[in-house]
Amino acid sequence: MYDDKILLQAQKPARYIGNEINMVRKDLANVDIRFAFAFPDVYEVGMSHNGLQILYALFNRRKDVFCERVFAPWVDMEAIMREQGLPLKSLETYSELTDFDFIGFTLQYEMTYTNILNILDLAGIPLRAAERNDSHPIICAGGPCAVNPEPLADFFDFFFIGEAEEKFDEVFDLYKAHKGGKPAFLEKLAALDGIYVPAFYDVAYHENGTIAAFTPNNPAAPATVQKVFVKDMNTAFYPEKMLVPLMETVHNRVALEIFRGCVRGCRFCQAGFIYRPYRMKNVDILYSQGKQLLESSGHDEISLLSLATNDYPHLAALVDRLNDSFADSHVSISLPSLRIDAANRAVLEKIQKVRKSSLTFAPEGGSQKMRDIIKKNISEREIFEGARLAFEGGWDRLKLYFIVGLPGEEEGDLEAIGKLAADLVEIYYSLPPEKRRRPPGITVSTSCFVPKPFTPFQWFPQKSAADFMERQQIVKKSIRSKRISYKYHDADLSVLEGTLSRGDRRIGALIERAWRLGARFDGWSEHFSREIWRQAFEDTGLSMDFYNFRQREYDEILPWDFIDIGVSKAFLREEDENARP
Amino acid sequence: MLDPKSAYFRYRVYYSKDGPARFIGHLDLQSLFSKALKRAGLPVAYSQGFNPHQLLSVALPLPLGMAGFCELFEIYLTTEVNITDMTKSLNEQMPQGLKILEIQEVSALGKSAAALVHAAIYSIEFPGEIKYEATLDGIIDIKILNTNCIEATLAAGSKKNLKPQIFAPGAIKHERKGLLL
Repeated sequence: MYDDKILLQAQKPARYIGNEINMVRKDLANVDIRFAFAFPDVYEVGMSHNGLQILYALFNRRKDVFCERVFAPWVDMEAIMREQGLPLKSLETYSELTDFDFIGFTLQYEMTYTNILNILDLAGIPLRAAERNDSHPIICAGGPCAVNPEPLADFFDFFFIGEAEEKFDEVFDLYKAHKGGKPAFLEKLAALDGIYVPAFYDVAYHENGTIAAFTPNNPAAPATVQKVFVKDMNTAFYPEKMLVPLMETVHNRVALEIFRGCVRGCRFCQAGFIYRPYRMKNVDILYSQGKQLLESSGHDEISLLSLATNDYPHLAALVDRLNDSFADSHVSISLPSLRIDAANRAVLEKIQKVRKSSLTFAPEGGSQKMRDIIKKNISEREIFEGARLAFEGGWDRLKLYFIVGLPGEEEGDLEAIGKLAADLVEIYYSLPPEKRRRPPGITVSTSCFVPKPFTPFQWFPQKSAADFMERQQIVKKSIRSKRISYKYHDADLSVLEGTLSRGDRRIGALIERAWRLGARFDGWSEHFSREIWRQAFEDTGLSMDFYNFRQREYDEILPWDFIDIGVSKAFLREEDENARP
Repeated sequence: MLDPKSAYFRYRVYYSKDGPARFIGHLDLQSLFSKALKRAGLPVAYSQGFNPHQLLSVALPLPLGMAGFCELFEIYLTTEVNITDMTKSLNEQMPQGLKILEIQEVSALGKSAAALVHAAIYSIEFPGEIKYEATLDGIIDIKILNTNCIEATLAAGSKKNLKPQIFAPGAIKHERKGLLL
């Protein structure tokens, strides 16, 4: 553990002590492989992530592997560490990261990329793979952003593309067979599905900056990297125990993943494409997993996770079984992505008997035209009906999510957002007075559209920050009722996210420059610095115009084309063409 | 109206908090005990009303970083349990640094533990050298104990004199830890 004097200076020392309930302890003398799971954000965020819980238990179920954790120290702790020359340490054994065989990062969000470099630096590990040797841990990454690993290519030894439950044992087995010989290990590894070793590929560029060729330079490396995924979610590994933090985190609850993938295919949504196919778990399996986790954690909330809970056909049956067993022990069930409709209102009534918290709707587009463009299959009638059901059921706080800056969006579509919210207020007041306890509260939130790899909009030019701000103003003007409040995302942050998400290898220099200039926790508005990133673009000569604001051609080689996510480029193109009115 | 608590059984739990557990804040400690009681499978009683919560109260919060060797919380259970078993099963659910020392069953309707505590013994370690004079009979005399004002800075930034609230100031020399106040 860090010294008392250090911990007492830090804002929340519990972030750095580990020692949580169900933390794994192993005798280092009896393990062959030490793996540091690195979450490039602050402890409270990382510990709320279900993927961490799954991988921690998955890796530690092997006797020969000891998986520990490390998080990005908050800025106050980093300052203390740098001032006193203290290295970053793991939470389980307080080991320095250089003592590990692997450091594995999860890539959940592009705005954590500078934190990755910061963690490596605080561990005393050279940032670039080419500067490291056999004495350094193997640095790897996976997670949704790994579907375009190129912006981070220079920093990593390998990327894992897909779902770790399926394949990671093979990585460990290969490593044991080639311990100490990094080049031989990486060559053997590169032949596995789901593995991308960036050093084994060369990129050539056209004069205009686009990619001319992306070719393997090592016979072990395949031209196309295949995503790996779990075939049957019912038999896939799921933890029996979870880490229970000793401090408040973002989500302090049991998470039960009810299915993976999504059948909807909304054109803006990367998750809808990269997590395909749709694979659900049956009620018996879910019930026993939920029961085990509730009993071993002591949590009083269980959350049913998926990309669109409405699409789970046995929701009512599952909720009933959980309720029957756990309502008496005061466990509540939450359904974070459930849309209320006639079919599931009874379910919602049942689980929210106590507190009528606010309900969320995500029409994404304000007008029917926009919802058709993005293939969000919900009509105005259905939104109104859902709102009426919610109001009648006693919910008087609604949150509405929209995206601005989508392809084909015009002023009228933005004004439709305010109109839609106003219509909902009117629906509330059309209820008989005895059903209205207090004036309704509608919150409209808009995010800025960020075109992502492996979506039909991957060729689309993102709107500039100034353009987004104008759009936000149009939405703002369209809202006239005092009952409606408006929140919107930071436009500067969104265009940076767009640049990093569709970047190529050259973007690595930008990330490193920004980190050297002090960029940290860029996803946190209080830490995001426009000025640092502007300077980094200037210093590296890279431009957002090229990466983000131009329309890409269909025949252009995209930086992520070498990955086969399971959805063809021809299909994405067809979907993009279908989106045009 | 009859207090619903009269139907329950009240247990007073003495525990120590040391090591890494010193960095668990008060609210987080409450939530930790609450989850530990559930994991231990104890029949915890809940309050009535729309938002039921465990009838758990953790008395006299320790400041972050401070160790405590005679801390306590109280919990109501719906049925009577064996105290030895309860101590054992709760200890199995404690993270490193927290230890259940003793559990007493107390009357369900008496005053709360927090209200019964008159005073607490604090010992303050001075790791460095500190000037003091030991009298012939071994009593240590340091200036701080004789002044009329021991000033503490409160969280809000204001200052408060603690001296009137100190019953029995004293200092001893500890072999390992230096001077203890």
